[in-house]
Amino acid sequence: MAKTIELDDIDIFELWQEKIWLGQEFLTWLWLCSEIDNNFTLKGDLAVSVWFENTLKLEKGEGPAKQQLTCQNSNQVIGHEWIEAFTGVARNKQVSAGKLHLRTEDKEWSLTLPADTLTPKSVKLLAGADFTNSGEDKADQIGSLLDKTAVLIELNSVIEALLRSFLELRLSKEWELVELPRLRTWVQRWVKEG
Amino acid sequence: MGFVKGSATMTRYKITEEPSEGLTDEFIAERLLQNAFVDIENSSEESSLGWVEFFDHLSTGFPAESWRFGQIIGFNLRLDERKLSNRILNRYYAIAEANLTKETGKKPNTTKRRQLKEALRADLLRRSLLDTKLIGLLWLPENQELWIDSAGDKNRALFEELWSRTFGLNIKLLVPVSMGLSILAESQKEQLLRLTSVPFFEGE
Repeated sequence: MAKTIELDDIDIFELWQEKIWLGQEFLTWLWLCSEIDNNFTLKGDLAVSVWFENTLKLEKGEGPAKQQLTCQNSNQVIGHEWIEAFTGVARNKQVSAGKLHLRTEDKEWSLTLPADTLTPKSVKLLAGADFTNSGEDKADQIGSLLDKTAVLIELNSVIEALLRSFLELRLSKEWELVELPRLRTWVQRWVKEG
Repeated sequence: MGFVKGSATMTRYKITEEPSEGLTDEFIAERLLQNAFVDIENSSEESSLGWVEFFDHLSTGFPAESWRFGQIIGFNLRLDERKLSNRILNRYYAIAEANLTKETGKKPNTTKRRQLKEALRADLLRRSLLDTKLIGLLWLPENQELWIDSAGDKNRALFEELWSRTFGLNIKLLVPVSMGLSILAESQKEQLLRLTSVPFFEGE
């Protein structure tokens, strides 16, 4: 019987440094897919809409050779918002952080997602429940904490479902044969037109 | 505090070990009390690191209702620090040494100089203001996860040190690769460990 892989047996910090590119590949894939069609159907028929806004950070290389690019989505011409970012991706820069929206059937979040950790920052719940106004009363504060925790658990599970979808594709033959050519065609189209 | 008010920022950990006696109220309260924050306001200690209650960072009594909220557990890490720069210490030392030389008519020897510097350091530390850092922690036993409302290497190291000293339970940082290992089927985990980066575009 094959040995099972347990987190406890692994030096996560070392593995994290070795595969720091994984989060960047995921965010780059997520951004490009969201540009092609921002509706994702994930495991368990979970429907999620994803769109990136404002600022996208891209990078390539490591150490002193690292090249970074911050793209602002300020161009008002529809379809041309991210020309600079598409050009960066065509030169093999990858998304290192992005500000995005995630929307499920009953909730919508805005958050910043850094590629190195994929743990959300600056999370705001835009629809679904109000967790921003906790009263001074202790019971109100506890209620607010429990509500907010439940919403963050749900957000993390959405991010993990997206990551799982990416990894299953990334580990399959379909990645090289179908997905990468599809993404390349999309990016090159915008780079040529831009 | 990000977990209660305003927008949230977090670092996630997977808890990969259960306490041998089970996650009882006694286990948690006893360890929190043993590693509670100690006030250094009226001392010359440079720093103090410990736990304080979730909704009251001045309290360290830890009755169960201060840390158990339904199915989740919460408390805060508190670090109080006072900093004294070498520039300031040397400035006061130079004055003190000059005064001593004037009084005694001779320069102090090595032992005397060291004693003078240590006494000055303790005195200046006692007079300098404390800075307080709070990091909120949520423990989600049902999800076997820990969250801290903070990001960055320094805060993470601070939390991991206090967690290890207090509970000694193994935790693993949840980052893309460890998340992948947590959510993928067994047959795909080995593939993930072998996976290498491939450029999206050829050339360049």
